[in-house]
Amino acid sequence: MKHTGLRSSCAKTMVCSLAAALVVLAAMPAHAATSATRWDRPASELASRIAEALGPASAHLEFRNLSTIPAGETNVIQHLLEDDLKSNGVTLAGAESANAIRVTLSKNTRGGLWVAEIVEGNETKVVMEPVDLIPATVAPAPQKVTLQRQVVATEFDLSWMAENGIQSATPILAAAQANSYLVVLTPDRFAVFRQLPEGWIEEAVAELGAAHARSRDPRGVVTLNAEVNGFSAFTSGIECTGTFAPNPSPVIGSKWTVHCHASDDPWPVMQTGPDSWTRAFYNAERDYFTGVIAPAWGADLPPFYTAGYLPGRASGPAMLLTSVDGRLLLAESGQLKPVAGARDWGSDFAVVSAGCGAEAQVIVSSSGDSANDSLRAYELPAQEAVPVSEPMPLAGGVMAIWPAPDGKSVFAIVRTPMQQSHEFGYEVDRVTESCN
Amino acid sequence: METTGDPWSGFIRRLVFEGLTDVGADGNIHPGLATAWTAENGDHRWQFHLRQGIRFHDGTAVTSTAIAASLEASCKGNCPWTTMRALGSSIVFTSESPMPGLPALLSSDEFLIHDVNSGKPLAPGATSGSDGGSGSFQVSGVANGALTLAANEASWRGRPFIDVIEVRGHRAVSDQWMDLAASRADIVEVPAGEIRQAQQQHLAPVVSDPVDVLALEVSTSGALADLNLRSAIAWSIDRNVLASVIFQRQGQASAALLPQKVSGYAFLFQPQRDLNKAHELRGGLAAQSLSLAAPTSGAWQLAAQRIALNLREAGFSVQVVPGTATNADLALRSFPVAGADPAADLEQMLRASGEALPTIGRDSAAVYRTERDILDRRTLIPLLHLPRAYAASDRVRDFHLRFDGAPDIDDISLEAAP
Repeated sequence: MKHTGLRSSCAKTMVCSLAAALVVLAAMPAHAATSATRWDRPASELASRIAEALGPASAHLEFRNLSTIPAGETNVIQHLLEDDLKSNGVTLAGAESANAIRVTLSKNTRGGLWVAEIVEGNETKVVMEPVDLIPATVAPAPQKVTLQRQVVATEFDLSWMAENGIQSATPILAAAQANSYLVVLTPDRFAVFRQLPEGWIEEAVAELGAAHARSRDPRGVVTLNAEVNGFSAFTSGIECTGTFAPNPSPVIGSKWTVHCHASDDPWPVMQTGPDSWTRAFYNAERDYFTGVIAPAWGADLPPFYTAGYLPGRASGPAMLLTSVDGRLLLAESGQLKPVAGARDWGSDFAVVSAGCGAEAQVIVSSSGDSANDSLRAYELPAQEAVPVSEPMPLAGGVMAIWPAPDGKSVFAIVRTPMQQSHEFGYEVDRVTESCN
Repeated sequence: METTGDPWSGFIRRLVFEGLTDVGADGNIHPGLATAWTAENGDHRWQFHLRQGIRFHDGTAVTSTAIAASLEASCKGNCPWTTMRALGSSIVFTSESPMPGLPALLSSDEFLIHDVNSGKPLAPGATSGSDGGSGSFQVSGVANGALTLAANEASWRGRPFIDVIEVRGHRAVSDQWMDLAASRADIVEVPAGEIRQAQQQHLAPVVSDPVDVLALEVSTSGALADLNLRSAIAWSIDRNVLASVIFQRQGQASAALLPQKVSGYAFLFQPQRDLNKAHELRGGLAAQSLSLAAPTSGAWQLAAQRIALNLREAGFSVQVVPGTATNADLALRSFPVAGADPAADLEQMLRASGEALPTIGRDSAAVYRTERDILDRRTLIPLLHLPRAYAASDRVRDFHLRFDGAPDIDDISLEAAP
């Protein structure tokens, strides 16, 4: 038996329902009303199961919480349960009752689990109700920046990946988009796709070759390369270029040429001007940057995972980096300074400039659950990271982020759980900042 | 790395061999040599699609035929399925009864895939032959009780950060700790009963959630064929003393098989001792002297002695015998909790204990009913839920334990020497 509406015995009449609703709304603070909605279904289901096991009888109700549900909400749950039990014909009695209902709010690896032991003399019956332990919704405070997400492509939009089907979910290491072209780097391929009304069509591809050693946590980067009128890409021991040869003739058509070769050259890690990049040497066996960069930055850098360029600071441009020991550091004025307020940061970030207040914002992945990742914008007015947007939820875990060529958005590679299988898929998202 | 046991055991084998599926850090089942799987006909038929391009360490392709041969060799006629065959680049299982827990079962040590045609490099005196695995490490040497593993450059998971691991076996815990202090070892064991001692010695052990279930296996032959006698044994044991004294409060007293974190309902099985009830159930029956088999090492032996004392207080005559003894009336055993799926964990425990395997429903209430039915037989008496712990040297980076309490060797790295 399921209950979806009001919960008192007078719920059958509209007048009584409205009166009850008004009383409840007046008596409950806003968060309690939210909690009531949230716990309404599981409380109702559990009460039905208890009533089915006990029958129309009286019982003493005991209640305890072994889960992470805050104490304030357990009162709400208890009241909901009492109301539901009454409406299911169970009379709540004092401790002297021969029957007892012991309700435990518990949890396991799957989520919440509400357990009721129904004790009638020497017999104990047990009923359970699984519960989603989703954090309570809190009205967000207005923020300076809003992040908006657009899915550029999933691996199944990209024709050669789709051919492999679910048997080979190919990780996307890096991607970049310019105009109607999308460049994708995987551990095995560097490919250029063109967007047509029917979808992404592969224009050119280069295989990275068997000699290319797979690393445990493969990474890569794709950047616009004005010198070759195309893109450059780097992954462990490999450098690729994609060159665009425009041709207005519809007969000949424009053409992409792509090729890859072995390379230990440093990777472009942050753009410091329209045509200037700081490059960093990559340790392919350990999947991080060694700390050696060109041109030098004036401070000895530790090995790091990610770096970004912060212009317009009081003491001049700074370099922001996540070191391999988990610290967030600012290389500024020839010194390395720790940054506070980054406890929630994951290891990936990208710096953008959307003209919202400070000259730059840092878009960061979260450090929490990799299956339900989010991105959030921060500013660093001094040596502390201050959030300037709400977290924007994603469809999975962030594997990498880079600034897009426009400087106002980022590309994110997101690993998403696939339906109907236990494998993961990958998608390329473009996340854009807008000012509030 | 050092261990009290055989170097070629436990989680070390999982570095060399892979299963069709794998338990991830979150305890859930993830793809291994299979990338996807589908169930049909009410879980009676399963098809596992294989990862392409994988090779054993000797370069031989990991084909569906090779995997089928390995699975067949693993269970040798006592397989949990009725039929299993290679079908193209997939493996198809069928069974007369539903197998909802098959993906989890295939992640267990029992069904790790090996090349049945490979040599046996681990045989005494062997100098050649492939280890037959495809995992992220391969055996590169066996000498003087130590096993050497080298990183598999071609691992589909990516090359591990560590180049070489030397596993020295049969090392006493005290020797392991001394070697760690003297920088002769990087990762050493910390038994559950010695975690506090390790903390006092500033070894900074990394401790898992409870992942080992210490339980008493009870024979159903002879006098113990009587359910009341088996129940009397269950009520006789003081689990709280075992937890607080023998295991230094590092274990949780429990009368449930599945830990609270996994099932969410372990509190329903009350672990209190009731000596009066034990006497009442025994009813003056004078069972002949019972034998209790237990490993002779450390806390296990102390626990066995304490259990024997409890049973004597309830009127039983008990003698502790070595764990290798066969046909013991009682046996102290540990059952691992492999993953986050309660039904799959329960199924694997029952399979390991030789209990009859019912089809276990996937929802918590169904798992609880099955666990309750099993425990009511009193052939398995859970006692404690214990964590696993390891200590690592300062130069080991990113050291953490997996859901099952084993070190995540694949993802650690070593700080370069100055």
